[in-house]
Amino acid sequence: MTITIGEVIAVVGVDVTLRAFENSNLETHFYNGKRYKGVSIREFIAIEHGFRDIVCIIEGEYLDERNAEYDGAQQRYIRKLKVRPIGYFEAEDFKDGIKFLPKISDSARLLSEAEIGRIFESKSSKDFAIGTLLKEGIEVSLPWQKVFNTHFGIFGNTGSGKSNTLTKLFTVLFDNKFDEISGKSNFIFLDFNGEYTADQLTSVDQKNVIRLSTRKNSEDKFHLPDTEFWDAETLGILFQATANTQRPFLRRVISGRAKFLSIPNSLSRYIVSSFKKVLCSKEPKLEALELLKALARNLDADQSLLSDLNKVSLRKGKDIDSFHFVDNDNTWKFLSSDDAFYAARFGDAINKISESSPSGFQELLVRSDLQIIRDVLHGSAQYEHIHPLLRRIDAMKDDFAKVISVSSEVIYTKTVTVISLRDCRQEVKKILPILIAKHFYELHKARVSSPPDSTMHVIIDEAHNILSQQSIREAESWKDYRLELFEEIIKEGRKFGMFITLASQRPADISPTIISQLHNFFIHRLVNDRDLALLENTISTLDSVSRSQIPNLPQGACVITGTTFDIPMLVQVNRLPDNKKPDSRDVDLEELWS
Amino acid sequence: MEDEGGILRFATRKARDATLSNINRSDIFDKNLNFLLGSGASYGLLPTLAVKLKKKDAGKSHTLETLATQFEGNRKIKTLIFSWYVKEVIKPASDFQIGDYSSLNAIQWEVLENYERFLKTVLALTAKKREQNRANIFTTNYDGLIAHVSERMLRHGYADFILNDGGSGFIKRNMYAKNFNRFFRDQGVFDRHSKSIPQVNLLQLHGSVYWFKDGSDNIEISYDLARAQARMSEVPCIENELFDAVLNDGEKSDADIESLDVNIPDAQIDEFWKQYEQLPIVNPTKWKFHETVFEEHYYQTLRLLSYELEKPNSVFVVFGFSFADEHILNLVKRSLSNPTLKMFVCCFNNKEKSSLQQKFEGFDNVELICVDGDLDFRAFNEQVFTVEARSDEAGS
Repeated sequence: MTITIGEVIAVVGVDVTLRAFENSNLETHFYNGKRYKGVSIREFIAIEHGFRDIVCIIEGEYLDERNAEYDGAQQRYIRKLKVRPIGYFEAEDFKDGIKFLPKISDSARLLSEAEIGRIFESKSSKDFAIGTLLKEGIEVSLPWQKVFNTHFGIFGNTGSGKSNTLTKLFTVLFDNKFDEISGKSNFIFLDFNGEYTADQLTSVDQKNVIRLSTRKNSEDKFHLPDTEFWDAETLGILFQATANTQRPFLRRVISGRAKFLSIPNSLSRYIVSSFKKVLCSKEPKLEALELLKALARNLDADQSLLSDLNKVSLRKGKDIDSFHFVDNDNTWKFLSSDDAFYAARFGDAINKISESSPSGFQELLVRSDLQIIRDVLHGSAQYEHIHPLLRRIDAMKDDFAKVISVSSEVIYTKTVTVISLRDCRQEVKKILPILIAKHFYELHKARVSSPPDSTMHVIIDEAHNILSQQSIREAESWKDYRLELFEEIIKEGRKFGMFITLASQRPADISPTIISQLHNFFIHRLVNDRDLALLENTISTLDSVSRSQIPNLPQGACVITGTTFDIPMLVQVNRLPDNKKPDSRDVDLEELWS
Repeated sequence: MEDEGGILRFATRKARDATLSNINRSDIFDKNLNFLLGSGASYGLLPTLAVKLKKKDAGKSHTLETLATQFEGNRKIKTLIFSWYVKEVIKPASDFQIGDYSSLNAIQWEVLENYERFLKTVLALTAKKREQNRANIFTTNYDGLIAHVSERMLRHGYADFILNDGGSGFIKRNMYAKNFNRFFRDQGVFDRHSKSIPQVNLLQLHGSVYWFKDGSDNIEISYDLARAQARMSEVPCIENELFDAVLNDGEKSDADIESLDVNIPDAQIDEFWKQYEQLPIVNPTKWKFHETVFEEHYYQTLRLLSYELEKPNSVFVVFGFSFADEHILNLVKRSLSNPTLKMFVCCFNNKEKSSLQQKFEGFDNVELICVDGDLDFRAFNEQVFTVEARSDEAGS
């Protein structure tokens, strides 16, 4: 029941040479009605070796021009095939690796489509087909059990079909197993370009779609619980605090808040006392006064109070122990000794402004102002070091307030959450994903038992946005922190059942630590030398033939390789139907310009 | 852990196989190509053997073949049936003239167009081979439409190809089976290179209205239309209006024929049979020719068919043929022992598919092809047998 196409004539190391019989250059053979692919480069053939069939891949074929044979009217040359063993069939099962080598005069036969299918897919992986083998045209199922419990990356130039592959993988998964998954696993899609907000992946009613926007005030916000927001780490991420001075400062702010959290109106009392401390201080500091004015402005103080504060000044000279206030009639009042005047002039106004109870970012701003005032009074902090942080908080709080809401309601109950950052400013786009990833990582780590009884999958499309190694625009220390978090997730996450999926155009930009920890790779067309070199260094399972094809793969075709797969395979991923496609299609100029 | 996947899938293999009802051009172009066209190909232009008359108990319609078999013993009725056969079935084929555009309606035009499409597909496949670029078309039609259509294609300057009907000679062209192994080559100017010309062999198993007996053991091929017409008009057909009325009445059954009272003089009957048996057309009841020279040629052609099918790496595409001719059926079955032969049989509808399934049970290398709806010549050319690129073809 086999088509014998040649016999072994040389075995040198792992290079096997076959002599092909003349019938073997057909494109397909039919044998008892079954189709067999003919002999050509990168096809598989089997060499019969006792009870095992050694599966080889064809790497080259050539004519031996010195040996011509005459077959009737036609001159024929002896064709020789160079093949390389990749594994073997034993009792119907494909085993990967060179364990046996053929002997001279073993006969080679073609593999039927079913056998080729068996090389690529294990028995357990039924019904998870995302495409067909590029060359053989056979549909393959991926062993989903071993793909989704790994970190995997999808790489390829823009327009090479990355998004389609990513979407297809998860669409097929949700189509097949949504009910079994729900309640046990969560999928978080960080969607930089808003490609997954419609019916992609799964129907709209089965997923949370959060459209974050810094441009307009939208309903959708990312909810951070109170405890998580008031956390030095979180705030450090948000405002890119440096580790040595700014982070401890934030920590002081937070611990101060935590200490008095149980006392009602603690913040307003704190404001009142701070004003008094500064204005009535025996060791007046001009810096503190300036900061106080800023605080008053931040608290929306009315004009009269602000002008009053502007009239407070300090006389130069020795042994000055108080601010003085120049009243309308040009009388000087010394605040540190004139309590009655202070209460009359400032007390009520200050009590009034302190009654507003800010929350979230406004509260942070006020508390930081207060903290720096206290620090300056005590002389315990370098104002110059902290100042940039305050400016950053002031500048960015409005943007953040639009996309983050500090509240204790956590409502990501659905299995799939898509967070679209399409309408966010570049700065926010960089910072927010880290916060989100951190939030889910901490959340998951806290509730998972060992071994994991639930999983968390974070999917980042266009991952170079946040995982890039090179960014000259940001401080070194901040970059380290940004990458550290993801590196931790990717290094430790597997134990907790937390998996990351990346898709990116520039694998070379992404931190090598992260790339090297990925288990599986779906590689579309890549042309940049640095990207290719990186793949060469980090992916042990990629053979030279597959690698040489990467620069000219057609759209939608990818090399799938990694720890889950025995041998690299070239798969043409099926296109999704229009309503399921991610919104990243090519522009049809013919239509547009008609 | 059996079958963990869900029910939903984008394309299960089973569903895909069911819809894979086309012949993949890449699979067949480099093989030894053989086709068998039956009366289904000419349907619409020329009458078939089917009549409207119903079978007595089954409610199915009769064909001339079943009728003639049933009334084998009744000489008068048999004569009427064969008269009708000559008059209604053979005569239109011999009267047909492709040059006569005006007389053709749209349906008839479509038949010719389909023949042309089919030939172009065959030639496009052979063009992909550098050597041995030829195909054999076996047909049980005696209408000579392939010859007509090829002529028309050559006239209109379509590619140069050779249609080989087995004839050789000039004034008088005689048919020899060995001519089917004869091929043409274009030689370069200085004999440095030569190239094989695409060739289609036309083998007419059931005879042709353009064949004539020449002496005792030769067949002459003559596309002299007037001559073919004249010969048919010489057959003294016996008219009987009552009989014709019953035959064309879907309400009646063969019982009505038995009760017919027809009176035909014996001399007339003898005269009819004498002329009828001269015809180079197979007899639709026993699939035999009365003339030994035609009969001999029939077996020659059958032998050629089996020889072609038993060549390694052959493809055999059957369209419009229901294997009623047992000689052909048995011969094909024998040849199916060639494991490298792949046979595609096009079934007009599911009913025919099940009947053919019984005929070819246990043969792995037979693939029965169906499409959604009826598989007529047009569907065959558009969906089954085409060199247009298909989206589902593997590779690129």
